[in-house]
Amino acid sequence: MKSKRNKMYGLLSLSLFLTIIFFQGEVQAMHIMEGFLPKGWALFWFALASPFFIAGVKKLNKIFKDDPDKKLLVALAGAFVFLLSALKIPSVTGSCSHPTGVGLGAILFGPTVMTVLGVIVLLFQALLLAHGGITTLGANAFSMAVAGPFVAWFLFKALKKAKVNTSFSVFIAAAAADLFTYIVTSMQLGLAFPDPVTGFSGALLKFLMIFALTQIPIAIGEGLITSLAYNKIIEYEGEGMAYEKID
Amino acid sequence: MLQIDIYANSNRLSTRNPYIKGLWAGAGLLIAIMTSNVYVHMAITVLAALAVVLMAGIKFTAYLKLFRIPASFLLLSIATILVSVSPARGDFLVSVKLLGFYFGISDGSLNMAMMLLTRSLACLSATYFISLTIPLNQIILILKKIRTPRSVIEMTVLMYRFISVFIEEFSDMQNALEMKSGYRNFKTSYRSVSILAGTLFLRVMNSYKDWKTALEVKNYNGNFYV
Repeated sequence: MKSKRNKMYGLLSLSLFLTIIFFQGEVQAMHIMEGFLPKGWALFWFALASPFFIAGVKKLNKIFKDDPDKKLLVALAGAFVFLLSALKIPSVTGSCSHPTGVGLGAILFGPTVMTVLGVIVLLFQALLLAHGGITTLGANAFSMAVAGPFVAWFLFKALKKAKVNTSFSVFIAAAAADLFTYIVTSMQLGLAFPDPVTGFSGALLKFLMIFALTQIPIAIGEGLITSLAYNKIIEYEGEGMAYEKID
Repeated sequence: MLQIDIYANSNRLSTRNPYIKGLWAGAGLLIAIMTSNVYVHMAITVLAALAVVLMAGIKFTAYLKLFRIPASFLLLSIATILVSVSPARGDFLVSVKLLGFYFGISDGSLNMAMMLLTRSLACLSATYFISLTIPLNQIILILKKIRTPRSVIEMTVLMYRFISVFIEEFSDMQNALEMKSGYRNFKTSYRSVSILAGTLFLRVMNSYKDWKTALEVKNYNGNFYV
């Protein structure tokens, strides 16, 4: 009798879970929401992200000292990254998802500049779009404005050096940036909430598996879009619509 | 303009002293994150809702709708924390055996999930109080007060300006693509989105020359006085 009831509980929660997955209106890239991390971990990620942020600000100050007009150019780049995250990509589950813009931003503007822009974009997303949050800004900054851009940029450079086809290397770099962001976020959640039975590794596995359903399609989608968009940019550049580089 | 931005600029609290509003919200956030008492969290959630609805005059239904945005992350993560997987039955309150493993809910994870739910809602309410009642020009005042580097403040102001300039153009382009059946099927939607991203990039970056000229006309000396 008891096992029958338990089976029912299981089926009920499983169907509830699938409903949540398939009927989400819009899927976001992984921002940890406001208030989700305990105080210790929130502080820890702020501390870990800040050296990268400070390095980025120093770099920007140097660029601005040489040419104050570049302030406009960098801000335009930041506005572009914010708008990218408002794009809608159709996703397999029938809902639509939003790209992070991290990969394209890092390839076009470099990872250190992207860290500062990413943090400001995250602040805007928290305040204007209610994605992410202020207490989790440090953790989100580390995964989306530090880890993602650096992975994208290094992969892009390495693949370029190995003379791999450009579209393909852009695809790999952007998709890897998304995947890495998702892995880092799962780690952050796993560290903060170790499973009472199986500990950190069990928790990590759970978060990885559950968010894989939404995040892996997003990563592939973003990789495709980024490589197509990059080609468009290069194509227009060839037509003489050159833009100025940040540095 | 973005919906939250419209609220922030047109409610009964938008012109009030930003530091006081900031302090209230900051205190709410800090208390919510420092305590793990469910009742304190609920009190903060209710107080913030009262402030937003009664003092700022924002419609309650509009306020509730905002909570739908983080709902999917909240539900998925809480479900993940709630359920543990183990090869042994252990001390689960309820459990199901699937594929040789026990999926169950333990006492600790139940309390944890409850606390997390209320804490997230409390923090979220405090942040919504900031987003809905403090417009960006006042946020800049707060950022200056907490000694944010000058270049970061300048970037924030300029980015905000550029976002509001280009967001119209962006949504026009998106509508145009939608009307031309650009999102008819998978393949065309990918093409449409990439055209949109590429065009947007060049529109945004190529406007640099014009902004530069506009600044030169205004005797730009390298500083923005914000």
